[in-house]
Amino acid sequence: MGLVDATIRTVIVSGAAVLLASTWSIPAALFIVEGRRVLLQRLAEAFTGVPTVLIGLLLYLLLCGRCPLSWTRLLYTPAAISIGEAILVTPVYIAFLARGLQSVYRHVFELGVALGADTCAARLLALRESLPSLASALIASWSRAAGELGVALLVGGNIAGYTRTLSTSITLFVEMGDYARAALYGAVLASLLAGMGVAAWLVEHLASRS
Amino acid sequence: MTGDHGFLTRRRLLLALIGLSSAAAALSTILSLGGSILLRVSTTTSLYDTGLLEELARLFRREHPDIAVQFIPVGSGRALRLAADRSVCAVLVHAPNLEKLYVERGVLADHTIFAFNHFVVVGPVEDPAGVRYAASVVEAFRRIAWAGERGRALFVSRGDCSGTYVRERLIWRLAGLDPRPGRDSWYLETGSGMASTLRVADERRAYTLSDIGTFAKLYSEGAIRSLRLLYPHGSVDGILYNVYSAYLVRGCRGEELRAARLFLEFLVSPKAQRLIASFRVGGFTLFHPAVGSSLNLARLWAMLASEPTPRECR
Repeated sequence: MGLVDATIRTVIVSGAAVLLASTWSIPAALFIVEGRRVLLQRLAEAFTGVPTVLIGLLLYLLLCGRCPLSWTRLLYTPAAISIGEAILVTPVYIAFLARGLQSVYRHVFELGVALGADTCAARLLALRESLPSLASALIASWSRAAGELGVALLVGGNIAGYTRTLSTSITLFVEMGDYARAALYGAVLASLLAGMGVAAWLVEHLASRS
Repeated sequence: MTGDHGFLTRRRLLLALIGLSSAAAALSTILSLGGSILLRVSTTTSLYDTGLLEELARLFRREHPDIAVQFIPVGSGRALRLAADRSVCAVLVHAPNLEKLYVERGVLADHTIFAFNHFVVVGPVEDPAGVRYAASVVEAFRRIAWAGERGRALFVSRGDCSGTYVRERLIWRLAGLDPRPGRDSWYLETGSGMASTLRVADERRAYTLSDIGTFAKLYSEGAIRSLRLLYPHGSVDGILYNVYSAYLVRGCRGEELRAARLFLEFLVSPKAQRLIASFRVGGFTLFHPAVGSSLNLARLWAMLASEPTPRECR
């Protein structure tokens, strides 16, 4: 029960985080690629390894009971984890996407603009040609969100049946000395990540056939 | 494969994905705790890890179906820190001298002692320091230090401001010793929880101080093999008693405060006390109920609370 519950929660919470991160990471990546803003790109790359507990701690210091954003009552909720993970995956998302968009996207976009298409249409056309790059960015970001621990522990609180994810379960079982169960949950998390990779490949494969 | 066929497969895939995600969403709605009052309680890991708290919560939920108790399992030091941040409405802890600091700072109210057990000195079965011959826990610690300085013994400390760590430092102080990691090569710090620390002690054939609950649980599961309970064998030194207290957090208001009061009352109710007394792991009794105990727990708590706390944990 705990395993199924934690697995579903992990998928939903990290999925929501990646969707949320998309709303600002895609525009940011386009901004970098279209304007050749290399410094921004390097900064995003530099922050891909930011410690998860650091993001968790900073968010906790905003959300805690006597902190500036306590009125949101988000602390120790799944939504708080999603928000924290969205912030966490932003550098990964931007770095992957900007790297991926550098060739095909820029080429198609600049060609479209040169041929007189308006910027919006050129952007859409170029993005459609760059779906594999978007898939890479999504997978990498989702993997970072699903496997992270610091945010889920600090602003989620590892509450059983409410904010307990696969990675916080693993930590708890290690803490309890139950290494066998920790390894089982770890195997499920690893399979989940692998499964998502295979699913993405399948979608791309089918899409390229039709 | 025709284009039509490919399209159908894709549509099926899409439908399957939509179906899966809506099923997941429905499940998560069922699993979430909508409609009830949420009571946030930060708690020491030694209570949580044994499984006692989940059983207490289940019993409480039967009496108060409108209240969902949510435990946030952390060490006593952090549990109190969360209270000071007003991030929780109640705390369950076992570090009297730390608790006293937070009571004085106006963070905690309504002190309720609900259970106790004791700390034990565990070490390798061959016992190079001769801890099993010690007449007191202070003597046991002196023996470990003596053997340690001669390269014959190791001691593993939590080093994490948990209730157990605070007590360990108190015993060293009473022994007139001040071992430090780095300076004293026989004194190691793990910086992690009790179960991990016991595992490290087991691997390194080292001594450590543990609450009896966590040790008994790991020992009965066969997770630690080389460690034995070496002290105490008979009567328990006053300094080894482990008193579990519940508090309300000042600043908690409304329905959650009402729920917290009910939960504290519940912890010392006959039903909960019976559950604490009958709770067993691997045939071991891990906790004793506080109500009706022959010990004067309030005085014991006051004695422990009057001792100084390590500077790094204040």
